[in-house]
Amino acid sequence: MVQNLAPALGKQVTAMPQYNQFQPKPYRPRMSAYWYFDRWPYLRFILREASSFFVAYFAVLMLVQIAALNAGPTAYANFEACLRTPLMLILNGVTLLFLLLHAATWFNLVPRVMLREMRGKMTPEIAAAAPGYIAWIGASIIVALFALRII
Amino acid sequence: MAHRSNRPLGWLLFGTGGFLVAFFLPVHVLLYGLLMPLGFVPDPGYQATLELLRAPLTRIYLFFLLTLAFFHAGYRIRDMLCDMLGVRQLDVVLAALCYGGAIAGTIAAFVLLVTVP
Repeated sequence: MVQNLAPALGKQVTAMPQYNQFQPKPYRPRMSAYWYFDRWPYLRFILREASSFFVAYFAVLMLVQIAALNAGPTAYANFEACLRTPLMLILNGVTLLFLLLHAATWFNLVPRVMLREMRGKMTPEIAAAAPGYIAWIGASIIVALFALRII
Repeated sequence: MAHRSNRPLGWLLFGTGGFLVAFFLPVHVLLYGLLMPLGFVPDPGYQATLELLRAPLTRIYLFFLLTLAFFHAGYRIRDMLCDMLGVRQLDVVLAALCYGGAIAGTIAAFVLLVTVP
């Protein structure tokens, strides 16, 4: 490649390009294994996608909780004691942060995908995203009232 | 005949799961994972929580939430590992593992929720 380009660079750009006959090379961009640390938007993308690990982890933990409830009071007490260990508290704290990231990025997508033209004008993004956030707060309150056995 | 992608089916489960997870899962983590173990809110205890689980509506809710959370996570983990590690050629293996896990989670959720005492 480089030696073919060299004469062309010296002259005007009128020189015919020279191809290596019968040797097409596939385009393979070299990418670092840690490409997602290169730029903040890349890292933000990977962090958002990584929330799925924590979704899977917590869904499994909820299965364990249901199994402990099925197994009886002793099993459930052991399960709750396990959740009080520092390791589990830290893990669940990180899980909450990733789930908040998931929820926020998910609701912020709504203005991007919905039709939001009103009388020939675009409605503000916040007007499209707000119902998601309001429904989130409402759903959280209802689940909390049930989980705490208030209703 | 043109090749028809099976991606839309996975995406439908991913999208629905994404909404359910965003709406409902954070409060579960906050309550059961942090506030109750730390004693910031009163823990209703074994009996009251089991009674809640016995209600059919709770079990239907948990089944849909958990199943769609598993399929949501499966779809995203598959794509993420392909992109993050640059191993798109392993896509079939990763898809089998992720969706196999999601199906296993669905079966486990169904069995556990049906056998509530």
